Formats: sequence, structure tokens, C-alpha cells
Amino acid sequence: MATTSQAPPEARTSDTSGGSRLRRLHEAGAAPFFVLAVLVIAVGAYDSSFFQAASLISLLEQAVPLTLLAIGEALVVLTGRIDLSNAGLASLAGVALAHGLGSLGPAAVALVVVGAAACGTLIGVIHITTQVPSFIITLGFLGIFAGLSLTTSRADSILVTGGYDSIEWIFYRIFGLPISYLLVLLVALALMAWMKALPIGRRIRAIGLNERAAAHSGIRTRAIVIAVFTASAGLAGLAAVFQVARLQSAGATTSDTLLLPAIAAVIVGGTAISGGIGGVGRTLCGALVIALLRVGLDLVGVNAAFQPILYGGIVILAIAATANRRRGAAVA
Amino acid sequence: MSDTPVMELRGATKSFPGVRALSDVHLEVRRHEVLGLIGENGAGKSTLLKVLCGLQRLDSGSLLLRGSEAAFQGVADANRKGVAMVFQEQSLLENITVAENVLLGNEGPSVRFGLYRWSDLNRRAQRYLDLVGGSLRAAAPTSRLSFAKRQMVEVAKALASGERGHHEPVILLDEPTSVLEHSELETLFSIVRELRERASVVFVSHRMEEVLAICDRVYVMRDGGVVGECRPADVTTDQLFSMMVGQDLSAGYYHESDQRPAQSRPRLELTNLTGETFRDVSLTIAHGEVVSLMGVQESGREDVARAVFGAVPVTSGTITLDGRRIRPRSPAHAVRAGIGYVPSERKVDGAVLGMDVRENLTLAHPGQVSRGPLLDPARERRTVQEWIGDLRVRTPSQRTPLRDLSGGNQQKVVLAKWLLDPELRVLVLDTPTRGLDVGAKADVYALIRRLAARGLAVLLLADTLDEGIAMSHRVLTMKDGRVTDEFTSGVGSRPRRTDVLERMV
Repeated sequence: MATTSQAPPEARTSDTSGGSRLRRLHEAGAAPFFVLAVLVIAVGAYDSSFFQAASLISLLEQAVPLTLLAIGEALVVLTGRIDLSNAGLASLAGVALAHGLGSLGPAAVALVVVGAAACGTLIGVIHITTQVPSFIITLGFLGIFAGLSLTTSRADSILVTGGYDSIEWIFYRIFGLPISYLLVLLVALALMAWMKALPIGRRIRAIGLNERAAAHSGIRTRAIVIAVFTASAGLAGLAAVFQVARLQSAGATTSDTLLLPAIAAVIVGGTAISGGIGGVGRTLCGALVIALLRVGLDLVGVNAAFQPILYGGIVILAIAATANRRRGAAVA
Repeated sequence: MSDTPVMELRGATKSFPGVRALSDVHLEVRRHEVLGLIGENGAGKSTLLKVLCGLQRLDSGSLLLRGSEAAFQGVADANRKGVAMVFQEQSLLENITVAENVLLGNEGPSVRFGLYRWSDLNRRAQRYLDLVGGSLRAAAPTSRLSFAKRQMVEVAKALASGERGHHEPVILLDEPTSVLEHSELETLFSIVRELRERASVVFVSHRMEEVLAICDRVYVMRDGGVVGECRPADVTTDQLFSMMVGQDLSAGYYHESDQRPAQSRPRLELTNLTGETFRDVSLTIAHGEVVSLMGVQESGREDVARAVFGAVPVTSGTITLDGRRIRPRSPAHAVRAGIGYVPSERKVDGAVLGMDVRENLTLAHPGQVSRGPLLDPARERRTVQEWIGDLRVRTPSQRTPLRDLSGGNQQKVVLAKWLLDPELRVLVLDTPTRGLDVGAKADVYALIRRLAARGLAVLLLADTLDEGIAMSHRVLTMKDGRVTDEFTSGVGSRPRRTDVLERMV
């Protein structure tokens, strides 16, 4: 009997084709950094003044609210869900902050962030108890938040006068570096460490990859899903603080336009929309790509009205290119 | 039986890029016999069948049909020459009637001017369906049939295809039992016995019990070759097993010599446990005891197991663990109480296939590889390596995604996930060996013995009757949600299969 090897034939033909190696590289999160590098070079080649410190810093400052929303969104997407309400919540939180700063001062900041987080908890609890897909629940809350901000602001932009000094410093610079972006980096690094060093990170990913198996491993999937929506909403509240600090005013729809760019940042950053693959670090990078794209488009002279079309296109293309087309993989 | 074999392979060799799937295989299929082909996954059974039914052609060697050399031009050609295959994946079309399926591609005189002659079609199809039995009606829509009935339609279809020639057909059955329930299995077996009267049957399986039960003669395959030929009457499961895996295992397939007597102290006690699908279930498992819960699909045994793990609600009754009453409201509670659970659907419920070996292994008890609240990567790497070595998990590395491992190795990781916890008290195993190779099964059996010896209480829902009897200290049978009987089972004093079976159905 010609038995040449102990290994069964299946083991010898195990698939190590180029396709799977590319996928590995993609799963490792290399793509967004590559895209970012290409974009930086492209924009710089078009207008070399882009490389001056001033424009780079202003780019970072512009990216701040977007990055915060994108990071929160990434946490939700990692569990195989989506949060369509975070940008709307940021608008509402901005209006609330503009109202409260005058009388409460710094305490208003804390209240707004905590209040926003509580909204996220509510969303999570409703999603878990009703088992209605997250995009429906958060779409509903998008409407609720939009209505609330319109009524509380009387559809007008609110100028912050009293108490502005308690948040104004956020957009100061320290040794020429923007404090705002340093704070965002701090938040992102803390979240990355939290995800990496504690079991919670892989639990979140396990839920996104296979919620049933995660539950069967004793993971408290419901609590984690609620926590993730809470984090996303809390970060939306924080984004509102940064928006108000930058603009010294708040309108009913100030942050609304960030929804699609934030989702685009998550996707471009290489977090799989079906959940389980991705992370905070690469979302940071994805947000920079989107912010840079916006600057680049302005530079080239593309009308700002066309930009949402581009974000929409990016989201669809990126998801279509990376989607796992096996049925039944996504949870909700 | 001295006449020429119906089919014969001489020196059959077939290679695929990088793999020699068949090497120098000699075998013969005789008239009116049920020939068994058994071997682990990857042993070459499927390739061999594909050669026999015309899907693959040999690189060298010859295929003889009724004494003369044959070269099939494809499945249809093989059908014309009287060889038909029942595929592992069911191939019936759901949206047409049973009769249409049976005679699909073989309508012959039942189609005139491109139109069906329904009465003729149904009459011809019904003839084959009657041969198979099971009171199947030709005019019924296929989508209405249960899985088992469809399997019977598949056999009728194969019969119809095989009888296009003017000889008695050869029917090839590719792992027909892998999805059948026990009662359905019996039906299939009686069909196969019927078939033997009018055809030759090749029965492929990786389950030894079945092959021993149904076949007249068995070829054992390993690594692309036939390593043995035997008659079921002359061999034991252990002998067949060592032929399949190619090593003489003194411990035997079920590692029966490793069974230690259970201690007297009770570990897990269920008292009048009642839920949606089970009633008044009372049972006690002692330290170091393996209790197998036997029953058919609707018996409620799965839900009893899941109730212990907190995955289905309990309406009344109590669960007591080491003398303390517990109420597992969710798997998370059960896990913290020291209960582990291996679900039957490994890929759906057991393993996170997209995560790597390391993360899967530490998913349930990350505390075992942490320092304080923080994961300790060095400790994790070391612990995972120990378990990989201990359980002989074949994986290129700890960072290999679980989806790239074979079923047996995936299952070992799922098991190890629980073993990581030194405080583990109860392990609930829902058909932990389903779909595994015999080699991997034997490893799982050895592990169960070891865990019991460590003092764990094991609740086993066995995949087969033999497994349940051989692995346990006690066998409990369930029917319609109630425990019907209890048998003690020890080395050398196992309950009889028929006695156990009687209490299940």
C-alpha cells in the first residue's frame, strides 16, 4: 500500500491561495493606513502647502467630532449592529449643552455626556428586549433626537455666551499641537487598551462573529450589547462638547451631516459591517481618511453639496467589496 | 457467489493536484450484496464512489462492469449502464412532484411531444416508490416531505436510473445516514435489505456501528488505499477501528479500561425538573460519573441538557449542584456556577469560527489567563500551548482561525474552553462526537474518561446507542419528555442495546 504520508489528503490540500492571504492582510487592518498614505501624497502633490503645519493641524481639528462618532459607531458595528442615531444625538446634546453652559458651567459638560450615554443605554435595552434589529431602533431614535433638538432650539442656532470659558480651552493649542485632537487620541488609546487588555474586547468581537456561540460560552451578550450602545451614545455626547467648543454655538442639525461620514470612516477603516472584525485604532485612521478626503475635495474645488454623494458611494462600494455573502452570517 | 463481480476495480489510481486520492485500489462488488466502504474523512471513499458512478475518471487502473472494461462518460452514461448514486447532499427539486423527481432526466415514454403524460409518469414512478416502501405517493409535492422521506425518494430515483439498463442495478449510497434519526435509520436499513434482493448496494459510511449492522462485506479504506476486507460477523468494533486509523490501540475505541467507578457523593441533582418539552425529570450524577441520556429527537433530552446550562427556562423543579441549589437563568450564570456545555451544532453554537484557536480556548474563562483584570498574553500563550499539546489539537499555530481546522480539532478546542476552568464541576455534552472522524471520536472518548476520573459529573447525550452505552456509568432513557428507565452500565456489564432501545421508542 502506497501510503506516503500520515496526513490525510484534505490536510495536504489546505487552501493557502493568494485570495486568503489578501484577506488575512485585510483582517489585520493594513488597508486603511495604505489608503491614508496614498491620500496624503495625492493631496500634497496637488497642493504642496498642505504639508504646512497649519493646514495639517486644522485638518486634525476638523476631524475631531467625526472621529469620536466613528469610534463609537465602530464599537456598535463590531457586535454586528449599527447605530444610526449617534449623529442626531450629538446635535441634540449640543443644543442641550448650549442651553446649560450659562447656568451650570462645567457641570453641564458632564451632565450632557452622561445624559447622552443614558440615551444609549435606553436604545440598547429597547433593542435587546424587543429583539428589533438595531438599524430600525436607532433609525427611530434618529427621528426622536431630531425632533427634540428642533423643538428645544426653536430651529435656530444658539450662541453660547455665559460659561463658554469652561470649554473654550479645548480648541487651544499646546506646543503648537491641538488639545482637541490630543484628547481624542487619549480617548482612542484608552479604548484600544480596554479592548486589547481586557476580555471585553474579544467578547465584543465574539458577539459580532457568532452571537449564539458567544452566549453559549457564558458571555453576557445582552449586557455587552447595551454597554456598546451606551459607549457610542456617550461618545456622541463628547463629540457635541467638542462641536460647541469649536463653533461657540449649537444648531438643531449641527452634527447631523456627520452620520454618513462616520459610518464611512468605520467601513474605510476596515471594520466589517457584519461584525467581529475591526477595532478602534483602524477607525481612527479611517476617520482621518474621510476628513482628508473632505479637505482634498475642497482643495480640488468639488462643490460641498456633492460630498454626501461620495460618502454614500464609498459606504456602498466598501461594503460590497468586503461583504461576506454567505447568508445568515449577520445578526441584526 | 463464484460468478463474475458486478463491478470491479483493478489497480485504480487517481490523483488530484497535491493529493493521491486513490492508490492502487482493488475491490469488487458482487451480485446481491451490500458492500460497505468505511474510512475516515479523506480516506478516499468519496473519490472511489465518484469513480464508480462516472463523475471522475481513473488516472490508471481499470474499472470493470459485469466482467468487461467500462469507461463512463458521466453520470447519465453510468445510469444507462445500470449504476446509480444517491448523493450525500440531497439532490431533489422541491418545487415539483415526487414522480417528476424520481424520473427526472429519465422520463422516456412518459413524455410525448414535449408534454408530460401524467398518468403514465405517476404509474412508473409509483412502481419504484413501492419498492422502497414508506407509503410514498407519486403525485405528492416534494416540498411536503420530511427529510427522511426525501432520502427514500432519492433511493427510488436511483433505482429508476439504475434500471434504465437491462441489468440489475448497482446502487451507491454516499453516507446516507448522516442526517437521519434513529427510527429513520431503521427504515433506511430495511430499504437497503430489500434492495439487496434486486440490486447490488455499495454503502459508504464513517460510522462503524452502521456498517457492521447492514453490510455483508466491508472494505476499510485509509489514505487512499484499501487496507482491509472483512465480514462484519468476524470483526469487533475495536478491530475495525484500529484498521481505520492505522494504529493498534490497546485502549480500544471507547477506552473502556479507563472507566473508573463513580464516587458516592452526588454532584448534580435534578429533582422533578419540568420545562416546556420535558416533565418531572429527576436524575443524580455523582462525582466522576458519566450518565448518558438516551432518546429520540422529540424525547426532550436536548432541552433537559440545555436547562441545566440555563439556556432554556425551567417552570418547576430544582437543580442542585454540590448540595447547593442553583437556578441558572442564563448560560452566563451556569458557567459561573461551574457548568460547561458542548452544543450539538458545533459551527452554530459551539465555536466562533472567525476567531483563532487561542481566543476560542480562552473565551469562556479568560480569568484563567489573566493577571487581575488584565489578560496576560504570555500566560495565555503558555496555557493554550499546554492544552493544544495535551489534547493533540492539530493546528498550524495558536493564531489559526478555527474555521481552518478540521471538525475534530475544532471540537477539541470547544471542549478545552471548559477544561481551562479548574473549578469545572459539570460538563454537559450534547452529541459531542457528531460528524467527527473515528480517530477524533476516540480522542473525545478518552478525554471524557479522564474528566470523569477528575471528579467531574458528565451528562452525555450520545450520538449513537453504542456510544451512549459504552461511555456511561448509567444510561437513562427518555421518551415524550419523561424519563422512562434507568440502566447501570459498567465494564463487562453493559445493558443490551435492544433493552435500551425498547424504552426509547
